[in-house]
Amino acid sequence: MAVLEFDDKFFKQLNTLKLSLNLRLNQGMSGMRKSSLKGSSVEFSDFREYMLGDDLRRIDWNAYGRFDKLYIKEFMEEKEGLYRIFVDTSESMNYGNPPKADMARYLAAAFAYLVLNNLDRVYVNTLIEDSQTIGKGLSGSNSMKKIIYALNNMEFKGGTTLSKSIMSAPLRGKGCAIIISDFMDKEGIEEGLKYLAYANQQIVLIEVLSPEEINPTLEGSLNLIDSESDDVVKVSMNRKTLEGYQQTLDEHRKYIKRLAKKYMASYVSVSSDDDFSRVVFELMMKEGLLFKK
Amino acid sequence: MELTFLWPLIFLALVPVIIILYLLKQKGEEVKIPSTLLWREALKNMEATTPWEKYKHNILMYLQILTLLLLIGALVGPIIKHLGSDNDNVILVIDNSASMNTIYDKDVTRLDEAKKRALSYVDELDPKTSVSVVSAAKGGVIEGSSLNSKRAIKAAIKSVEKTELAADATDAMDLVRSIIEDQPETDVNIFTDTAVDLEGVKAQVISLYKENVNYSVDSLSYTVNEDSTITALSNVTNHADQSVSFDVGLYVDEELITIQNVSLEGLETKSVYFENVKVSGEVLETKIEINDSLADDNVAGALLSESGGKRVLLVTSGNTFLEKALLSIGGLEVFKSTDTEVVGKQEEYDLYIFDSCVPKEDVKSGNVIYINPPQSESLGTGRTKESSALKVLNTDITEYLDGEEILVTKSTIFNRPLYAKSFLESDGECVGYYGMSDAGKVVCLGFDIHASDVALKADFPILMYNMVSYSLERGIVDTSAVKTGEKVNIISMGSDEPVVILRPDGKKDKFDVAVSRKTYDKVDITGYYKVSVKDDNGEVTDGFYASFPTDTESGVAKATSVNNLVEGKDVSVKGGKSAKKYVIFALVLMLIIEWIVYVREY
Repeated sequence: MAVLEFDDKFFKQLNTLKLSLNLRLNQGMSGMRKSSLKGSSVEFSDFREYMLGDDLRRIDWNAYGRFDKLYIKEFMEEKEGLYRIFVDTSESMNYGNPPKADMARYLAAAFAYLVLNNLDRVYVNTLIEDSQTIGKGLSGSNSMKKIIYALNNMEFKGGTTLSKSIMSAPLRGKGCAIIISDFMDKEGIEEGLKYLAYANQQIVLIEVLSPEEINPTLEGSLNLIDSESDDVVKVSMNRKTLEGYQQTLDEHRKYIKRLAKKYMASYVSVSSDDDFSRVVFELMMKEGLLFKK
Repeated sequence: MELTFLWPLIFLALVPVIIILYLLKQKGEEVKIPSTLLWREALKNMEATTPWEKYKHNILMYLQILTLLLLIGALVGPIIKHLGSDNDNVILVIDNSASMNTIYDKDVTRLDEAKKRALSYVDELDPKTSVSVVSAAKGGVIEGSSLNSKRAIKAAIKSVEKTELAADATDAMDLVRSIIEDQPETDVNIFTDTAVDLEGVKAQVISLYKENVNYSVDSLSYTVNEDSTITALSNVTNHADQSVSFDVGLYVDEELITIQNVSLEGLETKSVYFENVKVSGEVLETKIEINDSLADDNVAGALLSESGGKRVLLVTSGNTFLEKALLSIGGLEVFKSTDTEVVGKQEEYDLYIFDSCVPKEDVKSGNVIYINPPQSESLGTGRTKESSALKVLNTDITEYLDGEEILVTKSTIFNRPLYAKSFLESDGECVGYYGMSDAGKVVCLGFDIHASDVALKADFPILMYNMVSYSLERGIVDTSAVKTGEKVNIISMGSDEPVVILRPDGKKDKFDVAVSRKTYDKVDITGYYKVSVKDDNGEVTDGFYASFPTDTESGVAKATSVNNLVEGKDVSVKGGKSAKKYVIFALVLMLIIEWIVYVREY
């Protein structure tokens, strides 16, 4: 697997962006993200009357001086957000010029960087066959090296059943699930999405296709071999079959878009030969996943 | 479709060769792609909208196989058999005999069906085809000759009328043969229900035969009893295979007199007797009271003669042969006399027979037979001739005689009167004649029966019967019972007025009988034909009854003897057109399509 280069430019352009995912958390470790809980941060939230068992340190003595009643001062609890990035590492992701896997890894790195920048926690998981490899939960900008290391050592081979892979590991707490895949799964991904929605995950679907998949330029009578299953399809390439393929691809994208709407997910489709800046500044911002600081 | 040659079919062996070549070539280039999911889905969708899509990748193979088949098709020289004809000339023979009046289907007769099929056949013909339409009854009648306009052809077909004649399509074959003699390349189509003897004519026979149920009354005859009642005998036949029971009614002038029930086994004929029936009228008929497929043959008839026998006066000095012969003829009241002056003295007789004598006074009104008359100017007697062989001429009087000669020891030569016709000759000279004189019918025989060999032969009573019958004919027609299609002789009554025949269908035929007799040949429907003529004494009427020709037309059998028989609902399938040029055209078209497909890489 080619080693990805993450230069200054890559990080600089990401530094200008921020994730716009609005997570209202009530679980997890303390962090920089506002939660629905009252806690011990510096941000004032509300007053309420003292009740037996309250922390005496939180009594507002000034108010007691004025009203002769005990009031408790409440503050916002700040929690860290949990981001899970699922990267489809099936063989099919290895195809394309440039390979879809490269774009998938760049995107995973970008999301991870933005998450870490926001002092949230990120897991980079890989989906393979019916299971997943759960990455280490990382936070803090120092963790970026580990993530880049993990991404560079990812192996794209074998097949994937996306839904089964996603559902293979339990999810705790609210969070955000970012799935990067080509979504070429004959069993569909609805089960997986249903599982994520049930687990209170805000879902982001990023479809990565190669230019050969978006606009195939095949000719003659061909035996098309599936990279994952070795399944063979005999196709006589002509205008009509190519039109038929385009139509099917459109249908496939519409299907994923429909699922995304159903489970309140965001969906972005990118080509592996797209300029990364365009992907980040145009496609992601357009979908409202990122915004400028 | 017919094939001219079969040897090119061997090239069919190349079809599997092409398929094998394509199968070997089929190894398409293998391309690894991320996922075949979308391709498989796309192909499935395309097959749903265009079911032949899955065959499309082999389209060139199919086209090449098709091209090979067309090439073989061109080589075998296909001939398309089609409705209509390739020949420029077509003859349509429509059998309109009595049996064609049989119901074919519901209210449609076989003749109607034949016309319908002939009309639809004409629709298929090339506009240039020249068509002759021939109806088969009456020995073949050209209804339309060499017609080119379809309208005229159809009109000719429609003009073929039903008849009740005993005939079949064979009767028209002479006519057809004479037509195709000039035009050998003529298609002949015969629409009939009976077997046809084609006698070398290449024709297509369209059978209109259909199994059905028919019963017929074959004949009716009667005898007059002493008490003036009659006993009638009628034969009825069941032409079907199943047994049946029905009523047979006896009618006089359309009025039912009596009825009898008859039970018949399949294909059985039975006689029905009506005994001692009192009748008075003109026409006696028997009818069967049951519905069957042919109604025309359900009735037979006979004319009722005037009551009492005919009065005959025999003037002879003694002739046993003559007396015996007269007695054998029924319905005669024979009076014998030796007095030659009897004429005019007593009441009138229907017939006078003078044997070896002549009356003192000529018979002024009445029919006379003279046998061996003595010298008489009015009879034209001439010299006598010794032993000679008399030649029997073929006339009405000599009908049914076996012998061609009569040997006599002595004969009288006659100077035949103008009104008479010779029936016996000796070396070309008249020895016997018959004819209608002003007074009545005259038959003259110029030899003594005793002095001839005829008296001992069976021919003698026949000759006597013929002479008496001729003389006693009531005047206008020579018979009272015929079958349709037979001819009837109308005998001159010496009147200038035309003879009027009132047919059973109400139409009238008029014609002059200038000479002694004339043949009436329009007896084409069954029933009573009333014949009348006006003379000086008023109107003389006579008639005859025409019966249905049941022997040939009622039980028509299925025609199976013809090779090229077209049965069932099919309209005639005719000779074919070479399809070679069309196949070659298709072949060229196929090559063009193949080239386009190859170039555009579908």
